Amino acid sequence: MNEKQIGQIIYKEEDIQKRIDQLAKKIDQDYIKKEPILIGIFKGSIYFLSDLSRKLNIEHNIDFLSIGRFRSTDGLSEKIKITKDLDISIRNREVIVIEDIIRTGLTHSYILKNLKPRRPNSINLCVFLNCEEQRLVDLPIKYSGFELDNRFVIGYGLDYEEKYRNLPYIAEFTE
Amino acid sequence: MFLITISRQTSSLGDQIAQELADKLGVQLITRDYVIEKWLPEIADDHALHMLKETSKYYLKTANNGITYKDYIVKRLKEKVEKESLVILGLGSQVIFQDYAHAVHIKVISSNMYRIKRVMDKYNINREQALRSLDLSDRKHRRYVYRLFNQDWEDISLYHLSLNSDGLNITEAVNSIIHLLEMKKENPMPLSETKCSKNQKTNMRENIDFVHESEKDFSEILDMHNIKWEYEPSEFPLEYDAEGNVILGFRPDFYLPEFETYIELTTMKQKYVTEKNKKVKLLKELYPDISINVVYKKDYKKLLERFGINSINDQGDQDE
Repeated sequence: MNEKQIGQIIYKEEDIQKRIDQLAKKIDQDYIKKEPILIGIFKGSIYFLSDLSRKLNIEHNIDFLSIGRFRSTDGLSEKIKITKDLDISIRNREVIVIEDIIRTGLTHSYILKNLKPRRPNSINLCVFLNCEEQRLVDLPIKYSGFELDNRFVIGYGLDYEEKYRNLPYIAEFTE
Repeated sequence: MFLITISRQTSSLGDQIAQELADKLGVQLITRDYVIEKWLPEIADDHALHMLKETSKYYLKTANNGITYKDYIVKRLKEKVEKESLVILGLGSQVIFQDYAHAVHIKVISSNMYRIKRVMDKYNINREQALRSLDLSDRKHRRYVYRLFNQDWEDISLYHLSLNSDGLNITEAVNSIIHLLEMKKENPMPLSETKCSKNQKTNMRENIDFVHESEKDFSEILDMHNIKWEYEPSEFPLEYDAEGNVILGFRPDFYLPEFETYIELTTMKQKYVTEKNKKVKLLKELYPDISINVVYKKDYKKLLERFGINSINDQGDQDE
């Protein structure tokens, strides 16, 4: 691990856990007897999802989606596509999409557009880091861990070149 | 939840493919016979049922419930598709559900040589009789789709996939359709929208005179995410002179109709950014219901990096 790249710690481990306690309590209240499906978006959300899930008292399911890019059939442009689809049907279910960070919201608008035709009862977003000031499109973010400005951060699922995801805190990335 | 529509030439094995497909997927197959036997008796007497079997023109007549037989079938099909996955054979379903994101539309064809042989074997008739029978049947199918839906049954753009059963057995055809269905589940999109995107999106960028390369790149990012956009569609008057003429206006770069949001890119020199910020502020004051988001140079660069688009040639030198 190149420690020089790990800058100032923005959210300490205990702050993170405390905040997730609060989010879990809120979700417990909102989804009582509703057995929601938590959908984690690979790979960034895995730490947040697993901590959040273990703190929830309500019954719930877990599934994962993965998004990738591929060249379109005309060969001229690239497209976003789902590279790992859900294993569980979300029809008539309450869905909470769990994400590590949301900046512009473009990718998440794609995810919602993909999930909505599957006819869930509801879809809400639960994001660990919400970069409101970079948002380009409105999203139904119901639960937000922390607000973040436009700094590039690592840790707790967030990576730089696939490294630093396992840091238990959020730190600024320094080149 | 999915829908597969199968349109087929007579004796092209389309009926058998549809049946095996439904069996394999464990869903119901809806055919014309099913509709005539189960649904139409609810609104048609014996004479009407006879006429419906004979001529497609009769589907446009008003039934005793006040709507046409065609509209009744469309309504019942849509209700069923709302509730369960289905395979539908014929009935103009490729047209009825062309806007349905979870539908896969298949056409099954076969060469005359194979079709004639199948009809000769099935009905024990000679070649000439078989050819005539096929001709009549194909004409009937074509007329049904044209009369009821004003579409050419043979227009291949109505289908995701055309299968020639000359070179495929039923199992191979069924597996091909299931494979396509699996792929479409990942990226559901109505066929009509796909057609539109083919014509529009690639051409759209080529035909638009973007003021800056950065705007073209941004349109690429939007297309990448399947987000509909319009380039500089509206100008908002901001200041007027004493005679009411507009002396200052603002035309945001993009409009995203699905989000009712305008996007303005600011990838140029700081002095212009300040000027633009003033315009955005004024716009928000004068038009509080308008949603506008501004992308600043630094964020824009990061956005391009994230999506692997690297043509922002440090356009600090860009002026507007």
